[in-house]
Amino acid sequence: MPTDEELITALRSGMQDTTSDLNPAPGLAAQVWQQSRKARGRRLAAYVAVPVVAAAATAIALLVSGGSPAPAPVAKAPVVSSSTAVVSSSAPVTRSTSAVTASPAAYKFAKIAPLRSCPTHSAAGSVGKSNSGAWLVTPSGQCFSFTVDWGDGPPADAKPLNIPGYPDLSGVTAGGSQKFYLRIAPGVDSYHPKGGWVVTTIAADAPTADVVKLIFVPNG
Amino acid sequence: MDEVGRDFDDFVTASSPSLLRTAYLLTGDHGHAEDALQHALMATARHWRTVHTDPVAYTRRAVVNLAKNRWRARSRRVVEVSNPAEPSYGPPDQAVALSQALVGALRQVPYQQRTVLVLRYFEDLSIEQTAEVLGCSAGTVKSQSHHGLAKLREVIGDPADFEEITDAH
Repeated sequence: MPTDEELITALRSGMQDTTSDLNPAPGLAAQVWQQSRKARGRRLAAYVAVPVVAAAATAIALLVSGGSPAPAPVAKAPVVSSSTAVVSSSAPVTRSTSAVTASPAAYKFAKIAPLRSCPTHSAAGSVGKSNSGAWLVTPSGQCFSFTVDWGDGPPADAKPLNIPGYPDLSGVTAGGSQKFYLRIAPGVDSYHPKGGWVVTTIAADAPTADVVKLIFVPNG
Repeated sequence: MDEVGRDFDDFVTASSPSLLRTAYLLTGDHGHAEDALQHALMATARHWRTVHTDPVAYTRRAVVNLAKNRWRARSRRVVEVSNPAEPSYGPPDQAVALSQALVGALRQVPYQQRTVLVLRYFEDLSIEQTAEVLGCSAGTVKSQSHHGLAKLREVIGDPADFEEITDAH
């Protein structure tokens, strides 16, 4: 058997040989720098201009029960936002799952009646939040209420969602609802400086890709 | 690009090849390595004002953490088959065969041990520097290194096999 010295020498040599042809793409620095500036702009925009579903950004979870499309809109004037994203999945992650799940704080609105419908005149492809909870209207015009909360990482049976532009996004469908698990990078949220997991819950029959695209900014 | 951006550019130009190779050794996948490096550099760019005094250490930590997440995520998915190494032409030298086998075996070493081996013997970090990157004690680094080498020995089996390969040619 080789000695430690021999093994280490061979390992060094193997690692050097195997990786010697690997080089980053040209222009990587400029690309990353520009993306970081853009991401910074998006975060500022999300914090300042878009209070919609600010749960993720402000670490306040919205508790909205139910989740079925409700055909009868309430008569109240709508508070319609654009399909602006609230949570950026483009932020890099530098913490492991275990660090994230150590002590996730969760804030819920207690004793709030389920959101029965989207506000009147809600535009297709819009997301909003009222005193009763958060809602979205899919591009095809279906209304769904949903919940955004901080929570643990995805369970073992979570499956990748495979939505272009949203890597590492996984989900579980069970009991009539589906949950999406999105990792938030450290430093994005002041209440969760170590980052964490945002869990979005919505009815199982909601079109997953449409919902994700309405709520989250694509990666990159 | 402003002056700060140029500093960042210089840092990336000088450090990214080594960091990419480290990421590749940790993830075992070129695409994942590039993703990990890019995200780590994004984090560095975002915190440039505070980390510009030692951006390599910060980025290396980020790469290690991201690679760990990638490795975990990958382990939950369908197994991906990496492209085999380019075939070598001509009779393989025993030492070369052993080196290639070791790099392949590295992927079967538990992540923490593999990270220690890569940081110690590819990045040439000291025990203390490795401990700092991983946020553990120097004793843990020594122990992980020992177990990692033992695992490599276990995976590659009997080196006599490599002699036979050489003899066959």
